[in-house]
Amino acid sequence: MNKNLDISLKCALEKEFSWINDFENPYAGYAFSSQFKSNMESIIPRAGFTYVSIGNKRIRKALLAALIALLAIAITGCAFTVHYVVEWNEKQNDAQGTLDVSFELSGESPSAPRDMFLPSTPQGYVITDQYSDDFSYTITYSNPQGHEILCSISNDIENMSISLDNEGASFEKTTINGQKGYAYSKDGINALFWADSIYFYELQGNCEMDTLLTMAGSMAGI
Amino acid sequence: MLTLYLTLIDAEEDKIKFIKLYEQYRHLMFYIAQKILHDEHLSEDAVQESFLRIAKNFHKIGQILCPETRNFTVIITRNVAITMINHSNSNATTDFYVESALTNPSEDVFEAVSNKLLTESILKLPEIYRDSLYLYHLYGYTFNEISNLLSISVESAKKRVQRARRILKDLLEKEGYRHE
Repeated sequence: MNKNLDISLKCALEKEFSWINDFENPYAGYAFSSQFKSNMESIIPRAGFTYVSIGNKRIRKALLAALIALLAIAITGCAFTVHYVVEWNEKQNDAQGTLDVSFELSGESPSAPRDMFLPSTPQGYVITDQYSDDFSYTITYSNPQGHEILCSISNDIENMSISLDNEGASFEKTTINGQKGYAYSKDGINALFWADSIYFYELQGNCEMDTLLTMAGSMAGI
Repeated sequence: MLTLYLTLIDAEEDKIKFIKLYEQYRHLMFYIAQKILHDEHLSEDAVQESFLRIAKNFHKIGQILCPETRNFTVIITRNVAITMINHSNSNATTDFYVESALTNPSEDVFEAVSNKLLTESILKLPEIYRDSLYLYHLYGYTFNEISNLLSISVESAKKRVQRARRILKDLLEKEGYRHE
């Protein structure tokens, strides 16, 4: 928590919208269309939907009841096995000149839950920043030559997406620690992306690709 | 490991509260949308979409008649309208994943400057980044919730907040502040 940032954001918000306090809305008497009113009638009840929170997701109570019922059937009568691998859904976005990738979990599960392995610090570098929250762990490394490397590990694969500017970039699909990934280079920035069934990994920096590959190798675990 | 907890919402109370929000702010939201879109049909679509997103994330709305809630509706409507106009201009805001500036500023940077300078710098941020900071730091929304409110991926929500901090640090440095 940063007190000064929070106070300043509050001041900025008040200042930015202070004009509304004495504002005479030219559309105060605007008559919304019948279509709009009709659509709003279907939107209003959604504010009253009953939700339950599971971790960081919110789902409707009725859906949760159905899921619990299915779970109960599975536990009492059926073999119940979680199966998942990461599927990379790739789509070339010609309008933006990017490759857009989203992820889904399906398939065969690993034999045991996997710990998160942080990379070894490359020679000549020191850790200059670390950040973690419920979803990700980020480390920044720097060296005296002005090179920086960012390592980011996220555990929310299904809600992630990446958008790679692949115009004029060097880009290839590769395998990193036995998992599918990408190796990417553009304008002096090199990057590696890969995912196992639990985490999404990212290493990027204005350093040599070999440095990133060595760091990635150190994250394979034992 | 899943943590299961129940949050029960009184459906009827929330519907009444939402209707109050709708009646109080729909014209203001229409004005905001119209300023950006200059088209009454599109502005109605933007207002409708904004209310839909707010309805899906209604659990954190406090009092209806307060500047905080009023400003929140403006932020959401503004973002919806800008997204609509960017899509129609084939100029959608895209969170490019790889950038040349990589550092995520330490929180000490913002503690060391004056409130006045920091406030002025915040107001210079592009709206999409400034709004992400408002939603995350002031309104207390998680990245998941911000992704639902702004119809972006969770990763993009995280990146916007990180990028906002980075740009803010750059603005402070241009004003002559240096963090050792």
